[in-house]
Amino acid sequence: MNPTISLNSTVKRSDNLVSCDLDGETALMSVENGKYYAMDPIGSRIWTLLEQARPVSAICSLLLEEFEVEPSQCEHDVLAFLNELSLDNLVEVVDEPTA
Amino acid sequence: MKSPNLCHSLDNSSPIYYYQAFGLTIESVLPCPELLSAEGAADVTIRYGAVPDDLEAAEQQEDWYQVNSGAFLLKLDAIAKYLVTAGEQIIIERVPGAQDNEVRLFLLGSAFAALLQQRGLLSLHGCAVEVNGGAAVFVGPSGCGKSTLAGALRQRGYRIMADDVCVISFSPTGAPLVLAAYPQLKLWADALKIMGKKPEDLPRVTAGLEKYGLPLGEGFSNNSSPLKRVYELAVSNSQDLELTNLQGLDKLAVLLRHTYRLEFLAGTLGKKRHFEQCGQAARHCQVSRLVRPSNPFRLEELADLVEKDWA
Repeated sequence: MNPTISLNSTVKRSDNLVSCDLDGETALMSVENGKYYAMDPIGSRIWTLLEQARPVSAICSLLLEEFEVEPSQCEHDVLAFLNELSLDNLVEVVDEPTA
Repeated sequence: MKSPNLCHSLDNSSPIYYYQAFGLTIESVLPCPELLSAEGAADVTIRYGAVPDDLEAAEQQEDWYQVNSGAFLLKLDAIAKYLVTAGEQIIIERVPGAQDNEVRLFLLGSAFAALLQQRGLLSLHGCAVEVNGGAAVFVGPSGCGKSTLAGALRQRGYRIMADDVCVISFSPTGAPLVLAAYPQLKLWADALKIMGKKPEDLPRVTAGLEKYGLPLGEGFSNNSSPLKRVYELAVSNSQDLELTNLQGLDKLAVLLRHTYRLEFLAGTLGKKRHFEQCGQAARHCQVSRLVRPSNPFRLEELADLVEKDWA
């Protein structure tokens, strides 16, 4: 079971994935489970930001600059998205702060 | 010690035949009259020999095939076993009494599909037609009418490059190129009748099946051509014909969905490469969805629609 991702988590893309960009949308293939994933433009933007490991809070700040969205809504949506990715091991948490 | 194995099909003393298909020169002990003859150094060798019942360290395993990192094994009870290695060699062990045409059917189908995968090529389940120096490919499940539509386009003067398996290579710059297969179209009896051909004049693809091999002759193009268009052919309950251009990931999904014998692909590298190739092909061509009613076929109107799309 992967740890739940919070605003303080730093996340990165997992290894063993192949991604493909097509007309601003991103598709992923997990080599681990052989499944394909499709991301909408906002999901694709988050995926692009994950090219390097970033804290979730930093991802949200960047998205707030680019999209018209309430900060609380943005945080909620980003966390839901990243936890969904984490469930299928598409992202992993690095440097989880000790409580 | 492994138990000794008596093999009934080691007769490699028969003449050797040379053919070309999918951009390769093939040396074969089994005559394959469907293929075009060729000369020169062989890229692929097909011979008879003993084939094991199992592969070591198989990554994928079903009743009828096994795959490991370097080899593919196909086992068909009443016909033959085929061992495909390194993208260069196919060894066939025939079951006594098997008919040549049946041994060839699986050689040119599944065994070749595995060989082409080993060579790093992308294969789609579809027909390719030459259009204005490029290739248009029709993909879709068996029975959706790919070969029938290709046959209708053939009658309008277009030349066919491939039937059933459409093989794509990539140039150093990443442009997809459709490789010409061989001059035969496999058609069901009713499709032949639509085209005004008599099934009784043609060889059956396999005994007991109403599917026949129509030699294409001049209707075949042996030129490899850049991939320009992919049509996903589908059948619906509606009476209408529909042509819809797809965008973005919908294009990619069509190529992933209609990859020929995707289940034969083994290994992380092969799977990654396949995914990247589909993305690369999708970037370079227009992908559309083409829907026809199940009955009537509306073949001529379908061919009109496709021709209009090329104009």
